[in-house]
Amino acid sequence: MARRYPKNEAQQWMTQAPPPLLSTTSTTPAAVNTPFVAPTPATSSSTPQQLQPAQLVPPQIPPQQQQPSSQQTQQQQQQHRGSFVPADLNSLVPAAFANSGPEDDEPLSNSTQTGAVSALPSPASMTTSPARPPANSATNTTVMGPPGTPTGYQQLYHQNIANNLAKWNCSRRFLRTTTTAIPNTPQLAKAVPLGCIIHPFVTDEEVPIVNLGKMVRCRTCRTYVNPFVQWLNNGSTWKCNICDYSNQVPSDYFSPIIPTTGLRKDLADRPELTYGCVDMVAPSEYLVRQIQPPGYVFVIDVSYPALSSGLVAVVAKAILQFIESCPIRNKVGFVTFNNTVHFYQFDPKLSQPRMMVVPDINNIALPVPNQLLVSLREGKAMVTQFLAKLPNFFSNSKQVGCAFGPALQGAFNVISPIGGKIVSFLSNLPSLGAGALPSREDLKLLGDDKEMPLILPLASDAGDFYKDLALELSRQHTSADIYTTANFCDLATISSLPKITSGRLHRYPSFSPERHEKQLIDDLNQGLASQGALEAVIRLRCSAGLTIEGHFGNFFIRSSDLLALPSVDASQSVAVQLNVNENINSLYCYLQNALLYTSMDGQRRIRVSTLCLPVVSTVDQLFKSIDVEAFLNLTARAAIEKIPTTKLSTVREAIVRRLVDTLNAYRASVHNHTSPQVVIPETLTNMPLYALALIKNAVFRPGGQSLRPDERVFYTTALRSMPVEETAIFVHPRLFSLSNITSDVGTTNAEGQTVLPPLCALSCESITTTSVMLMDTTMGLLLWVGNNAPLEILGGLFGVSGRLSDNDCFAIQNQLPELDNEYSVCVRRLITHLKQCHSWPQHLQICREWCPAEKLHFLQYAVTDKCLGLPSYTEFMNGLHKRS
Amino acid sequence: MLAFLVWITSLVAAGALICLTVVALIAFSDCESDDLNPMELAKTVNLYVLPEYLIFGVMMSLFLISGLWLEILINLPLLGFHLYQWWYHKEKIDPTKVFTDMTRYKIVYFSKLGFFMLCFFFYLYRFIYTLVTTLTS
Repeated sequence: MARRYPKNEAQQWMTQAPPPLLSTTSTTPAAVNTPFVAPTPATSSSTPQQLQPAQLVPPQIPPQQQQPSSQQTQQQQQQHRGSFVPADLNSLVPAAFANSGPEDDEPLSNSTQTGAVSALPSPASMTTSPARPPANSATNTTVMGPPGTPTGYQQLYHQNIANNLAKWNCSRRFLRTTTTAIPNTPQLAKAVPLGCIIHPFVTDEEVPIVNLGKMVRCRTCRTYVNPFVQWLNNGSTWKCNICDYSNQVPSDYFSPIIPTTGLRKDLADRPELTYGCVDMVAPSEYLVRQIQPPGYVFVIDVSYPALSSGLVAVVAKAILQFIESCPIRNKVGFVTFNNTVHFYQFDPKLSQPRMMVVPDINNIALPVPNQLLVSLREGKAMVTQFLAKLPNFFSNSKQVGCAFGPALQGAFNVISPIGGKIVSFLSNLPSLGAGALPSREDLKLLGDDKEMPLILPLASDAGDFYKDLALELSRQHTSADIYTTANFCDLATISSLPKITSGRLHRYPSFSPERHEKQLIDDLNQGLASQGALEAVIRLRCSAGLTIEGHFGNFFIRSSDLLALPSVDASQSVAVQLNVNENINSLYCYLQNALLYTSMDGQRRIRVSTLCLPVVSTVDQLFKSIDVEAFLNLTARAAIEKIPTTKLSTVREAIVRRLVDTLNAYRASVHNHTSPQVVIPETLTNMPLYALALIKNAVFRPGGQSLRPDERVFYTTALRSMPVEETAIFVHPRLFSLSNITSDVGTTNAEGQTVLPPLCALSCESITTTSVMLMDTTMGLLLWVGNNAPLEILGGLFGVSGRLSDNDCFAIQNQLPELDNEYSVCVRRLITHLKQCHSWPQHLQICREWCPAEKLHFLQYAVTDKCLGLPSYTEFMNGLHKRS
Repeated sequence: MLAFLVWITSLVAAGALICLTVVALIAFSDCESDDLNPMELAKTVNLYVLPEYLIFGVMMSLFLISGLWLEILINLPLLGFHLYQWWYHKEKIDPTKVFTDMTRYKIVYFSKLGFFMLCFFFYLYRFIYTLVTTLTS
């Protein structure tokens, strides 16, 4: 069903209600701020499996997708009968994963088996003699071959998948593709960009932990055993779903097959065969080095600007809160810098740490070989004392230099034996030593194409310093977080550090303790608490016909398809662009993602997520299966990738071009060019609005005096690895009107979802002077207070009777006043829910209409209006018609 | 006499450039088949970038001194390309972009290899031509 937008009805469309963008209810997160869990002692598991109950969110594969596959089953079986065993196995193993990568330590045996696939098991390896299955089975109504024969197994296999697809498939929150069905030919695949977005750590999802002892993996392609493998020869061989190779089942993993259903007898005891996403405990061959407790080195700027703005005091408080709540096996160290670099030795014999100044910043060597990194088990009291006194150490210093580069080198030397995280706090442009950057921001250049160099890393040796350091850090399994309060610290160059080592980047321009103290403390603590993995590598494997074209995100590509992420937290995801390079003849396509990581309590695990997608052959079915939010995410990331080499206007054009190409492909195939206007399929109804919002986003918009290069780089780094659900809200924020809300706002309704006020369109028609509105942008909550907002709301919500003053705002932003009326209770409930429903901690900011800066900050999100030389929504839709 | 020296030096230089390009291409194919990681690839290839530019510079200056206009004309595009790379700080391989830019790097190196081989044979021809004409005259 396609909706048409003829030109003469465009005006009429404008007055209609805005298209339903998002449901007005959202899922409630179960866990809020997951506090640090006391580490459980790593028990060597005597029981073969460790199970944890999983809360699964059933993936929403639309039911009509089941229809084409069962219709095709009949035809497929005609083809497959008699040609069950493929002649040449090597043709089925895509070259991309024919080698074992650094992920696997097990040697890849040179398999020369071609032709006869399944070797019959020797009787000695079987504990019981295989039961001969009955010749006729009552459940098989359409008999293509008796059960127990290859075609009988195949039929059962497809039936089982069709029945259990929703249960066995990986949850959408972990692995999400742009389409929930795969096109079967390369020509068809050109219509829609294919890709998948991997989000390993979702805040409130539990993943069952499985201990198999010895890993069960395919011999040729190294796929992990998953619910979609086929069990042959009564359970003694298993056929890999990625490469179709038949593997021997290890004797301790054997279980007979129930002949009528084709499923293993012990299926209920095997979570790895019933859940799409499991954590497998990795044996010692998968360790790259001995498991170390994570180390945290805090690099703190103590130059005069940092001290006078109050940054050092706030940082000390934030780190103190982190130390109170983190596991005591962690190790911490400190490095401070202004004109010189200072190290702190935590000697247990002394009552307080010894500060050592390294004056020669061109030659940073550790003053003492050990005790710079102290385990919290021994030194927690000393560290706490140190942090309490830290702001006073430098109260008389007036040094304004910023030796950030040397400080990072020093921190790297401190942490490199064990790896972990370097958290740095910067308040100024680095000006001394290696990595000193010139002040190249020129406000006259903003809003011009000449702004391009300012958002790209500096192409010089100083610029390369950060990239080389990031590579060294990645090699030593360390990630770098940066918290900066400078208005301009050449974030384009410095952001190579969090980008390549998958760290976090936070920015607090015009830092003031009243405004930003709570923000910085929350960001630091929630950011470190949501970290789920250390020294991780990711690899995606896909079945025959699909190839991997590229990877997008914040990581380092260590080999052709292996991504290295020294730290993974709940806000990071990886996007992989896929393509169909040959015709796919099977009914289903499979994607398996493996994340090999060390958990925060010191266990080496592999998070295996497997996704099974039906294969479709018509454009209509393909377009019915599009996931518009994943489409948006992939388009945004691909566009970010283009920024270093093309002008921003060309990048914006490319975003719109991608949408137009997809719509043209739909119109060409489905309607055979009969309709003169562009035809938008139902699944892509919201995509033009998303595309318009994306080109007006801070990452891609033409800019101007109000958008500084550092801010743009900050948003770019965040968007580059943002998960799918959050991208949709980041690009097109949710705007709620607080003028008329019902009393059940913020509570959980019968389906377990939180009730939200109705959404408003993002235009100046909704944002009026008499309104009070709340906007959820994934990276902050904005509260709009109009000039003529009703006094009842101001009184009921804020407890003021006139205009809000600056001090009022600071107080409210930290904590909404807890007034007694129902309205305040509802709004506070709503704000508490919105603050926690994303992986990025959201802070409330009040935007008052009478302050020009705040007004502009709020109105930049009015994307359906015409601004900055970019069209309004109706003009954009008209433009779409004209282009096609 | 000078012409002979120039020809012999340019032959040796072209041979050296071919070797350097081949080493780089082998390193790229090793990296693609997982035998080499990107950082070591960058170290290997970047080691030979400066020698390549120096050898090429010496060759061009020799041609300039001895006034061999045809050779200068042939090498001008490559000179322009090298100057562009040097100016925009792009001559070294970036380990973070190895896999995203792999096709571009391979195109550059393969075309350089082809160009240097053509140059080698061209200089050889010119050398022997000059030798024969000098000896017969």
